[in-house]
Amino acid sequence: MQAGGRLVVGIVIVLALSALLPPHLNGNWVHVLTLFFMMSSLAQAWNLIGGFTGYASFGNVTFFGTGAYACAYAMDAMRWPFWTAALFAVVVAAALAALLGWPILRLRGHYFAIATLSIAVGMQALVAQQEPFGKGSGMTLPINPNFHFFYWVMLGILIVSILLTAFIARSRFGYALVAIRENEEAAAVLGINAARAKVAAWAISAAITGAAGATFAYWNTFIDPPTVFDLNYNVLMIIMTLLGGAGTIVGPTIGSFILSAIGEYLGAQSISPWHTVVLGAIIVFIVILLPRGLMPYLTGGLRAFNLGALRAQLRASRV
Amino acid sequence: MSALAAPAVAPAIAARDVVVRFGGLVALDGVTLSVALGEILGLIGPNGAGKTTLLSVMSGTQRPTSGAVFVGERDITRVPAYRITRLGVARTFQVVKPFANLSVRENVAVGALYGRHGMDRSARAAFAAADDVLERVGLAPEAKRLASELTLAGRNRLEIAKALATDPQVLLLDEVMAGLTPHEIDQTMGLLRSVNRAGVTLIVVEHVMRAIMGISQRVAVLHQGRIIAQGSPQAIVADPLVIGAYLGARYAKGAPHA
Repeated sequence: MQAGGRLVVGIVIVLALSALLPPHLNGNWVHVLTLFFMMSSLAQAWNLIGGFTGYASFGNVTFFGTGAYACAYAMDAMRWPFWTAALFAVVVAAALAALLGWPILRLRGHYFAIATLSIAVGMQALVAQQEPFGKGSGMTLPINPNFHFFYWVMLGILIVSILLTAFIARSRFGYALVAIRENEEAAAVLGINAARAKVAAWAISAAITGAAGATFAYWNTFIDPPTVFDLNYNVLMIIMTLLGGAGTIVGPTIGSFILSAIGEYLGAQSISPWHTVVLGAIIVFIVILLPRGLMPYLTGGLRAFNLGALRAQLRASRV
Repeated sequence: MSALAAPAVAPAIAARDVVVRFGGLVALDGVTLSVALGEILGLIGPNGAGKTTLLSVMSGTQRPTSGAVFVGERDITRVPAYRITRLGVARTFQVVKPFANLSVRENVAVGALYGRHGMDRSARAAFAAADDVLERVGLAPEAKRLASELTLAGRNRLEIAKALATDPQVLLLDEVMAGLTPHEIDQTMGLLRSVNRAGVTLIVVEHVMRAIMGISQRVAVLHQGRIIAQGSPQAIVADPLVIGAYLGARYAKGAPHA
């Protein structure tokens, strides 16, 4: 627990200090790191519902797309400044999660996963039909040439999402989420209003995801349904979280860092077809060898590196 | 209803004409049962009699097909389980449901954080309350271990500890002594007596007859979804209906009448 606490503080400090970097970086690195902050935020957000609460959402990308479109609409049609538009996007994404969550979070396991997946697919089709959102041809946002701005905003979202996770993990609410994950019926007979806690967790997850989506829309200056409702985002959120450690405070960011680094390395080797193969191999690796992700190894030090413990973990694994 | 169950004040908890059907199976077939404040009621019956289902109806984890459940004078038939807990009714599960990846202390703390007084106290106070409960049930030495690392006896005790941490006025215990050694059974009986002395009404579902007879002030017998007898432990063990239900009618004939 103590080692975990130090790791969280260390990562937050490193991230905070990285706010000083942009003037010393070329455009490509700014882009790479902005994307890393964004993906980490998405994974941190997924971790709240998937890792802490144990509801594997394949629909979180819905809130990314919703945030992006809400921001685009507010800036383009209503001429709102970015900050107001982003706040609007956060509220819309959270409200949508609460609205969808109320019926859907009654489903468990595979049923919940499939229901959320269909929401993600359905939402993309729905948005592509709407005239105010430019139908299938997308929307254009005002251009902000200062790309450092997006670096800082994405970094801010990531730091906030980590601090929020740390706060929740130690709170009464956090214990409710973990109790629900471990055994929902047992949680209920101890006095936990599971329905409300789950909806709240998903709404907070969606709020962070929506903020990232809104910032992405402004950064990209153009969005269309296949881009912002891309299921690959959702898959990456899950892989990053599982790789780092689901239900831990900074596991998703660590997983995101490793995956992004591998992606950059492979990209630099210009063997891009292999990128997806390696990604697939990593997924298999996680499922078989690291059912709890890397966090136990990072916080447990070298003691964790023994086969007995690994086997015990495998047995205890619920994956 | 027997003469023993005619309290002047509202009972701590009561079921009235409770029916539970699972498709074609009738699990509870019109059960009426009330438990007085501060009483220890033993609930026995053969496997499949409906004991666990009755506890589930009383704790809100199973909706009755018809009938009603009261806590004091309040009708809780349609009240969700978490709110029934906050009203002061806690239960354990026969198939224990520990939060396997949390420590023993955290398991119990969840009950203290969300139970009857949960919202009135700080998280720090809830953990202090959890430590008190761990001390009482003898799990304090295991506080930091993961719940999944406990022995069977430890898990049964954790199940009681979690329920106690919600500060219940009524505690429904579903076979918390199953699989325990005689010594552990004695310990658990002592614990339940002390919980009862502190003012908690108990319904104890148990197969260990020695424990049921030793601890209950009154025993009710459930058979095929119906209460077929209730009364003092001595009267119940001599009741031919009860003997018939457990051993078959053949053995009941020669039994002395109560």
